[in-house]
Amino acid sequence: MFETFDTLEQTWIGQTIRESLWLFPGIEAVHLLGLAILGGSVLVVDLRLLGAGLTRATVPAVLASARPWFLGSLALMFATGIPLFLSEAIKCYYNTSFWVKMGALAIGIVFTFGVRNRVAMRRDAPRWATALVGAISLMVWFTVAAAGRWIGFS
Amino acid sequence: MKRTLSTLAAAATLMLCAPASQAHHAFGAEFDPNRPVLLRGPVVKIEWTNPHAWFHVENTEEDGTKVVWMVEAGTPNTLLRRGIHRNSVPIGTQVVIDGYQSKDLSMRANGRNMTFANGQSLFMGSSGTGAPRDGADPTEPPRPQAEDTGGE
Amino acid sequence: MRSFAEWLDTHAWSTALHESLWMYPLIESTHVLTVMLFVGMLAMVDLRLVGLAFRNVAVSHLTGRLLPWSVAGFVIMIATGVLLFYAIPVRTYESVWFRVKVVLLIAGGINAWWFHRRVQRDRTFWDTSPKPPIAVRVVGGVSLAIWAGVIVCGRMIAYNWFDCDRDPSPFVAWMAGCVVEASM
Repeated sequence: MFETFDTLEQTWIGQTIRESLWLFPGIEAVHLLGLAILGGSVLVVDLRLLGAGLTRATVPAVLASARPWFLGSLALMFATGIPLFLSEAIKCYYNTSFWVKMGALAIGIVFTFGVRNRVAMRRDAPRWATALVGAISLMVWFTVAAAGRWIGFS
Repeated sequence: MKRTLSTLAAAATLMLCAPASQAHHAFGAEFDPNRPVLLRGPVVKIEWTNPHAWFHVENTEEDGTKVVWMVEAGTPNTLLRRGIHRNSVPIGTQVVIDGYQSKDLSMRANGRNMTFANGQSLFMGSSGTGAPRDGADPTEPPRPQAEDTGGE
Repeated sequence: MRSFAEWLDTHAWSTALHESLWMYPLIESTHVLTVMLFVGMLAMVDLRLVGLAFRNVAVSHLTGRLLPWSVAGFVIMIATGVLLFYAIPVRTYESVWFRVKVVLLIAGGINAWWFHRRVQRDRTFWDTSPKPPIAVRVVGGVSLAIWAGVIVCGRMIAYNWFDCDRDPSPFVAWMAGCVVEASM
């Protein structure tokens, strides 16, 4: 495992970012812009599932409108997050927060596409089920973001 | 003499001015692996700040002048896990620090090993910052020299 | 202003907060994560104004139901932001990024005021329109651009490229209000 991370750290992308004064902060800033949109597109659906926010629109309608922004911001997060990771793969290897974030991210993606979006599209889903799914989604994505920020502090 | 004066002035400026709370950066962006430095003297100030703690060490230069260097360490949490905290390094503690000077040749360095008067030696940096694999970090295996320079 | 920042810097609590093992990272993290609530919710409204999201939902429903969440986020942002400034007053005051951020914050406030005071007056005509008139779309677009700028500047405050102790160019030094130490 360490060898894999070591190899990833030696890629030219990682090397270029490490040698530059601007690249890491610049990419990180775009990563944060993605966080704002990702947060908004997740929140607006989860709040609706919990019975708050855009209550005059149906859950499937809110999801349908938020979905492209969720997918787009998620793609942006990967496009910026992977280079950031490559620049400090070994630091990440030793960083508990990084592993928590990756675990939560995997859970978040599987849960969002596998459970949350399916429940949201069903009109016969009971109230408690949509609320539960919304709450879990909020917690998982919050964990991803919080653990991500904590990589720099641990 | 002029150089000494300007060095003193630079050191004085650093001491007067605001703390260096430079956020995340890789070793290679800020420090020069070809400029190893060995600093010896009392700790005059410590900034226990995130994401890097800074140790100010008064080093006696080759010409006998005393210059305060700012040495970047890992995060306060990293140091705590290795047993270094606010009360374990009082001001005035004599230390020997080896590290690498900053690319801009200011009196800043990235700290690797900190050795105390009793011979106790500690790795003071963070793992995986891209610093040279000089063996200071006990968690990382040293890399063969040829491979290290080949990629640059 | 600078003397006020210097005065804050003399507070023992300011240093204690900056050097705290947990408080500073916690406040900083709260500040960063609240961007999801504050800008995230605001961005959903702005995207509706531009005509790029929630086109089947009335604008007034979005502003009425999402902006309160955004305002709650803004309150947290200000509270944590003030504490972060308190922890590192002089350096932040002399940060070019911080100064640009404050200007953008004011611009964002004026843009929001303009929307609520003037643009929204004839809302009944375009409230349910999938693509609102140009004046509304401009306000939404400007808002997105301003808050994106605020996020970028906020992130950059932590980096010290333009700090006064790094001999910045005369223009940057002027922007940052660097003071030449009298004792030098």
